[in-house]
Amino acid sequence: MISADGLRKTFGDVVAVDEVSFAAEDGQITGILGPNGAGKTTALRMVYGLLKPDQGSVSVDGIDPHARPREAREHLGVLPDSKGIYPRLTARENIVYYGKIHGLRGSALDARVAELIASLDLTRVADRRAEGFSQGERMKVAIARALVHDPRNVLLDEPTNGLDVMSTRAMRDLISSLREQGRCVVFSSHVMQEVSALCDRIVVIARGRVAAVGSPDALREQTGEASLEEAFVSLIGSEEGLVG
Amino acid sequence: MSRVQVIFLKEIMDGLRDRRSLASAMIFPLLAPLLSAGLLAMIVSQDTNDRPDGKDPILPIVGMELAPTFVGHLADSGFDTVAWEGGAPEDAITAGDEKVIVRITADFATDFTEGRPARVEMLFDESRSDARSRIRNVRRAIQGYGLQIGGLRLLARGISPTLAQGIALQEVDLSTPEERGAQLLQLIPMFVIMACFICSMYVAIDAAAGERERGSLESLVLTPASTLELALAKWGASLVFGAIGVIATAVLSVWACRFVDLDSLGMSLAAGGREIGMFLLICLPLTAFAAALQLLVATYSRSFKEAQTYLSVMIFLPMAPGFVLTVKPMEEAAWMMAVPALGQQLMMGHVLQGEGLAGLDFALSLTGCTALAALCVWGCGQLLKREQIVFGR
Repeated sequence: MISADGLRKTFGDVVAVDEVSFAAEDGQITGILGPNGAGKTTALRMVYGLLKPDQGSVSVDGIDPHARPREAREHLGVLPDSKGIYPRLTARENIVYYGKIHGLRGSALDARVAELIASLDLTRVADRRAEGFSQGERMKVAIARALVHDPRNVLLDEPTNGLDVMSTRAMRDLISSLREQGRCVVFSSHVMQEVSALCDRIVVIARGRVAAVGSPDALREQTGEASLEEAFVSLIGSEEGLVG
Repeated sequence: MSRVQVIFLKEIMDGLRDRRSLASAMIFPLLAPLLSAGLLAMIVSQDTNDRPDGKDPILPIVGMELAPTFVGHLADSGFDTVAWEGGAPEDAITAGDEKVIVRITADFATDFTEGRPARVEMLFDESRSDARSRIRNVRRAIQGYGLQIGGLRLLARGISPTLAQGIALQEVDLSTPEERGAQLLQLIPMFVIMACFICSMYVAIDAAAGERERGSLESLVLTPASTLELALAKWGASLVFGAIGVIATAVLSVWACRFVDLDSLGMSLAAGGREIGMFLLICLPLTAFAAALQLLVATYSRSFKEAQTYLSVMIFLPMAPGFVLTVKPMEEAAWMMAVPALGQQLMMGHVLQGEGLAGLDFALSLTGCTALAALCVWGCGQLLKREQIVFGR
């Protein structure tokens, strides 16, 4: 369970995020939808505690990630904006490294890593160095790394960015399976179709502010548009983000 | 196994798999001994050996027929005297074809028989370092002949040649062969100090700037590991690479210099296992400081390239104290020992001169380096908490 309340962040004179509030429930997928540069990444960074909000507060399972970062991180699995992995380590070594930093050892670590490799379909490349990996394979390793400590809450910043059709589909299946496991999933995207296909709740962000919150149906009702696409356009006030 | 250990071991493995890190850690320790032994060998051969092939050096003489006895003396002094054939001898010298040419003037015979100083010209180019020993030897031979003739003339007039000697100068050089060797061998401390700054460089850049440039830093600071733990572990890994490089440089350089014939210069190399041990003891704290400083700078840099630029310039930093001391010699003072690089240079100089290592000097330098290293590691931990550092500027 993640909640953000009245988040505001400025960089110099630029207000990147203003009065952003939302709540993401366990067992649900919450989509943060907005065009490029709307403030999605900045908002998520405040949620996972790397950016300090100028105003507002965040709670992850009741823990303030800014006051008790170490504890909050145990409850959070994050695929951040920069998704680089270590090119000179194998896929397995990349995942094991993060497992060890989270304190996993021995058979528990081996079992968890094997489980992630199997469920993310990484078996074929598990023991190859990551330098030759495709975009999709790298993304999967980055996700496995974020999930290695079995976090209750999962934050994914643009997890499908740059992926081909097959990988995007695999990613959607993964996100759905995270919901089935009862986790609280928050993911951001600028692609409307993706968000509408997956999410229980949508938070539309435009120009740093929340433009609308609700289920896909509620958003259609709110704007009076027949399709979600039209609803999105009228909410953000532009056609950006419809292609993709 | 603590988090620091986990991160440390990963950085070591990553470094070992990185060709650039390995190359920068290993090339210098292999190059330095070649350089120091090569330079030493060159100095030795120029200084002592004017007979590289074992034969008397050829000494061209203009007007050889004018003074057969004089030429005979030069031949006895170890020169293969030949009559100069060719154009202007001056041109041969300036062109570098000959090191020294002796010209006997036309009035040599008359001046000589009438008891006036007979004029002999010696043509050479003082700026040619490889000609210096030849110049010295020829000058000595000519002056020796002059003194000999002068003495004989005095004797012929019933005067003791010693009367012409106002002072009997006897030079007593109290420097030991080790001390004379130490002057030349200053190269080795210099190289060992440089190794402290070179061998850990790429690992530090890769662990700091590389981590961000590859986009893995954000995920790493999102783990429960504190930024100080990250800094400590990454510093440790750079330190290991630096230390291995320093050990290799010191051992290989001293070993290589043993092949240089220093005895012929009246010098000896006071460096065996004990001295190498002392070098390492002296330099490892400096390596710790260098690695910490490099990590701090690489963390602060905006990119891998920028870090590379800063750190390459920093390699020359340890030479600064040496340069300052050469230009403006200062009395050695206790505070100098606490200055990184300067202290190490002075202490290694003492070891090479056979004076050993003073406990207080070492304690001062250890304290200086450790305190600065700790400050840099702490600073790196603080930097990693800053938003601009994690997300890039």
